Amino acid sequence: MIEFSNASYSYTSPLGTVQALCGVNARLRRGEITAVIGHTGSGKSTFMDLAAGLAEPERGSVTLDGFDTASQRKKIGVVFQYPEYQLFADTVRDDIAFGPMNFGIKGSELNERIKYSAEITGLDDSLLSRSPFELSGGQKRMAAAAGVLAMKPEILLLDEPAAGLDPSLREQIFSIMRQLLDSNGNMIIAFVTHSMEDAANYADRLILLDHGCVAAYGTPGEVFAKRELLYSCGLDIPAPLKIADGLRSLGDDIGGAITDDEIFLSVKNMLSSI
Amino acid sequence: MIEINGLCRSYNNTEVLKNVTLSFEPGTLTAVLGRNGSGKSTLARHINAILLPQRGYVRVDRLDTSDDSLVYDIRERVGMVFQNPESQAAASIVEDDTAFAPENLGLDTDEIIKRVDTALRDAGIEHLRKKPISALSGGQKQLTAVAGILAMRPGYMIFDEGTSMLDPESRKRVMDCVIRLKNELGIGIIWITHYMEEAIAADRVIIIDRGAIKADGTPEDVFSDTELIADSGLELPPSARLCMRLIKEGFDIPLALTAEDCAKEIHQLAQRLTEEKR
Amino acid sequence: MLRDITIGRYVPGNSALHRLDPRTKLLGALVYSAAVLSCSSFISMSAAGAAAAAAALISKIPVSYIIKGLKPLRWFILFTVIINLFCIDGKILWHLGAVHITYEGVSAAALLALRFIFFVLGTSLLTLTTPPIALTDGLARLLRPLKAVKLPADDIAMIISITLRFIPSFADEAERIMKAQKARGADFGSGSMISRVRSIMPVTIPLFISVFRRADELSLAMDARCYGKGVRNPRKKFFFGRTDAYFSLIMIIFCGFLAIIEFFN
Repeated sequence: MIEFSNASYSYTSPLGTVQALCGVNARLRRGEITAVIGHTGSGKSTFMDLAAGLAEPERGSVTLDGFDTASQRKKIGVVFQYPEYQLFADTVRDDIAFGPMNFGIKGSELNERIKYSAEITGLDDSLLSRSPFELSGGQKRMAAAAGVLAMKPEILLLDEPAAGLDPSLREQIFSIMRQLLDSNGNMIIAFVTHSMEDAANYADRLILLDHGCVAAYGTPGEVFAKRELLYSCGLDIPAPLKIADGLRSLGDDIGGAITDDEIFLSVKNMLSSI
Repeated sequence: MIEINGLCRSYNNTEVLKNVTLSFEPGTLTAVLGRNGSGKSTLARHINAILLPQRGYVRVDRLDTSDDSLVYDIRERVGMVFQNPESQAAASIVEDDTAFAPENLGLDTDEIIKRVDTALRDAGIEHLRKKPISALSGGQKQLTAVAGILAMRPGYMIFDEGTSMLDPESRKRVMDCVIRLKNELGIGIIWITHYMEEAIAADRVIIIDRGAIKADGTPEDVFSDTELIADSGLELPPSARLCMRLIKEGFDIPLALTAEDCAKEIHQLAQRLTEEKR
Repeated sequence: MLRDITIGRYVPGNSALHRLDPRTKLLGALVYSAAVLSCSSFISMSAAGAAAAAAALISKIPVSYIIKGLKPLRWFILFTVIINLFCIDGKILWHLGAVHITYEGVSAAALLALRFIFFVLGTSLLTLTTPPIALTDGLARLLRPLKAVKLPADDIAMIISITLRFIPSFADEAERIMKAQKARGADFGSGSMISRVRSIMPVTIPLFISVFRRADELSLAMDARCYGKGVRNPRKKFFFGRTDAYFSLIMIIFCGFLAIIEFFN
């Protein structure tokens, strides 16, 4: 697992020193999808940078199985926000190959990897020989993600993977994440999101950051139950939970449903039992 | 009034807009929904003469967009706020940016100062007037863009996915401001988005897909055509999704759009069922 | 590191330097740059350094922030210093086999380094204390006489100030892209010259595209606000006041001083 142990990080801006993370203790476990949520400025990006080994904590440590993440960069794949803005190669195939080639993969293994990542991201073969700039927005996003998946990372970190995507592509991105975990239960997957619904529907565990500190950690059910805390952190609760709360205030208590499926089943059961 | 009639546009032999006919009145908030590539932005850019019709016409308060000499008059009346908060500011400080449009219009200095003051107040960012734009949050940057447009005293404002790059709190702030502008200043708002929740607050919802208008009506009417919503690559808001699934199970419940309404409807249904049982 | 670039950034303030007419500052920066790039004695350079230090103090901008703006240039300065140290002939100070350092080399290297540093400081102080819109309008006013020869002075002024304003923004973007490519195993620091140039492509290409995209977006936004309708009427008028007169006088004396020193060298 990736372990944050009393990790702190700050940087200088024209307005002075900004304490991005203060003494954070957290875990990203293998075999789980963790969602990192928090207000803008709560330290989510810094958290991901440290987890990815792209920055080192000033105090404390961020380790992967005991080793500093900075030394484990080869095992960690990062999909940044709007990753399509990093595409640069002549063809989609070349762009996907960039990552693995930097790590010495070549020949038939390279071709395998390209095929694998194109398949898993739903990129048609015909698109591979096109210029990445000819693709539609959604296809570009998938091409960029494929470039990271082709490195077969043990750890996959994503920053707002569904930003700006149509609903069908959003579902696809998250189902890819679940697919990866199903075929390799040893992976660590974590994503930053602003959508409480995405966090509720697709994550096994949540980390709530507030002003650089961990305010809550647990399953979505556990974290979203702390409504006052969420509101005070400037966040909202998922729509199903709002509906459940509304029903409770009208006298119908169906418990705390947080995903679409849960609220549907709870309401159906309540109505059917009348 | 904005009149669009028989608007057609093609790029590289692909029809991007197919015979679109629409009109917009001041004082209304119209949400234009569509998936990426549906043509919604292209449609919007015809309204303020960024793009010219290949066939058909677009008139703003009876000014035709294809008349070169009227371009600036049209742009004074139809303001546009774009998607990227980072690429709209023409100056470094908020109040300098708000003054940009009146300065371009060559107005008197006194008038410019008055307009800047009013625009900042209407956009709710008076307290930010001396701040450098680069230090603002995404939502504040968009409100700065709004103030910049308000300084032209437009009759209409188009928001081309104005909130899609913002976090939920900023999105709400901008949306609240826009509703206030419609109610207090009578500006006609055309709100292009793919967030269904934002369309709920609109007076009118238009769905565009593959260059053609597929729906045009109140949010309740439009959202109840769930097949169309799915076909157009859109997704119902969570409350409506729940109601749809309950309807499919045979429960008699209307389509609620907000969480509060949804809870109310379910509660009322539960009461009705309890009554029937007796 | 790219985040440290100060050219193009504006830091609001109310110092004497901030309050000067932008035209005064523009001309001042121009004259200062010309002086710094043409003087060749160390006494002149010290005078220039003193002038820069004085201006920096007057601006009330934290000195550490101003100096941070030099950081990105350190490799460039180092590079030119090394070239000058080892490649200029003359009185040999030290040698190891065929490699030698001459007195003239040290002199030239130091001079060149100081030139760069002072030039950057001077330009930075200009942009740090002048809001871009004021720079644009000031430049437009200075160039106005050129309109007689059909030069689009206003547009040129706008272009320059927009470019300056976006430098930090693109520096940030470049850093973001570098981070993303580094995460894909890109290595920008090692290897032969050729491979190093090639390794920059994953950053320069997306950056170029980003620049064009932003230019597109910004020009649309400016069009939407009727830029180009006619002659702009800037809201903030500036006046050439007493402080400006004093500043100009000081600049003239400064130049005279430097001219005398250079003459006697």
